[in-house]
Amino acid sequence: MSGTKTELSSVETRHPSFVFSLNGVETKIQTASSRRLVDLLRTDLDLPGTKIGCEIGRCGACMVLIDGKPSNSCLTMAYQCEGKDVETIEGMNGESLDPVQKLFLEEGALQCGYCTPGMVMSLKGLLKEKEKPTYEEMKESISGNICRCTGYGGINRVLRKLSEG
Amino acid sequence: MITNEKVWRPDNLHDAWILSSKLSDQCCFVSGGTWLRTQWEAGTKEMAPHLISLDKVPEVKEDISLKGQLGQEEVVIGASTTLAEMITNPTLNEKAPVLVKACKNIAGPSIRNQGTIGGNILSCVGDAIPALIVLNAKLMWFNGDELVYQSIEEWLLNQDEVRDILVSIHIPTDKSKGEHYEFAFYTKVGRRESFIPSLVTVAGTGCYRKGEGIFSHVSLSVGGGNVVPIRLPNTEVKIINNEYSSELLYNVLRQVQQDYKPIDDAFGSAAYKRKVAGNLIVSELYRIGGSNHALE
Repeated sequence: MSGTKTELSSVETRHPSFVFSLNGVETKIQTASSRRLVDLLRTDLDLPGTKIGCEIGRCGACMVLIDGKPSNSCLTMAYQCEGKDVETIEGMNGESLDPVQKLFLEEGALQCGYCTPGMVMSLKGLLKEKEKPTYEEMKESISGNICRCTGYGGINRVLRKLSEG
Repeated sequence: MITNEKVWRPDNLHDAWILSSKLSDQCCFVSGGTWLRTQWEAGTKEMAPHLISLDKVPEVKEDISLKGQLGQEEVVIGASTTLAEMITNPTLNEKAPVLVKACKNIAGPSIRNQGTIGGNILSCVGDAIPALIVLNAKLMWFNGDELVYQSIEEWLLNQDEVRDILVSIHIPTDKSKGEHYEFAFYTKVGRRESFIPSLVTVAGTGCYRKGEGIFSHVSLSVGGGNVVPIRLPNTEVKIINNEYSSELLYNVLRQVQQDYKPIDDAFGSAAYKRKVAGNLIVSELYRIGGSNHALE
């Protein structure tokens, strides 16, 4: 194959369009390919439930599900979402509370609440993968989520309750 | 927020290589991108004006598989295989559990869903590297003309600037170790239980003939922090074909501390890391041989 063909087949426009499913709705957005998903969600798509924390994948505040798997939206670029199924905390905004959200409230597992959407999304990712995960599996699933209010006692009670079914 | 105007998405290896040749030092390959983004945001590495994504290149996406004839088999892993895919792969769990254990100890679940084994290797300090060293892993590169193999150990010694494309990782599974008990270990020490950069990581494989208490085919590696992992050939010599004894353990402890040259950082001194590396390896040897031989 020639170098000319390479240039023609691979070149992109300055701001290409990307199509992906966002909370079940087909979404088309025109943006720089390397723009972070967390910025797309919060700024362009007006979905501020996904939080910005450390910005280097350490705190989990920006957790979303991509094709059902927990992913740090601060580390995900726009082009990496193309054709994917992206779910944010707003996607859980149904008529009744999701069982995970309900347990967070019942157990007082939040103080400032900034880390909570990320915690919930990480647990939802695991529950999509496994119907009845163990306590240890749940603990592992939120190992990438940090609570700075030291609310781990309440969060731990959520994991216990979830693992008890 | 750091953005870049051009992300190239070639759909084959040749196109990717041609692009990188033309763009030269103005470009950077991207697979999962977790390590790169962390560096960009932390300001330790500048984002290249052009990114070349490998997400549409089928050669680097090859599924984990067992290839070759019986007795000369190898596990082949596409470079863009995510760490999460490696953890759940049945072939890898059967043939290279020490590598699976290493992957489980890298970052958190969400990073492992996106981060790839290729990226972990190309960071030169990734926690999978010690496991790959003791498994005698080979790297397959595309240099624009052909595919070439290189042992990971050799590459780590000369990895100044990578221009070629890492295509796949090959792990030989035929070790001709006979019927003897095979051991493999991997231990990472950090400042908390999980999702933490390594202070010290050790890995080892080998055989132990229980009746005679003799070690053979031993491979050891150590790394951690910002130190490029190394193999410990001088320490291996102290163990191979020798009988388990307290003297052997003391010799190993001394040799590891001579061979490993970590650096001081804000969280641990070089002396501390040397001591931890030595203690970890000795404790693993004690676990393997100690049950049969009461230490004198």
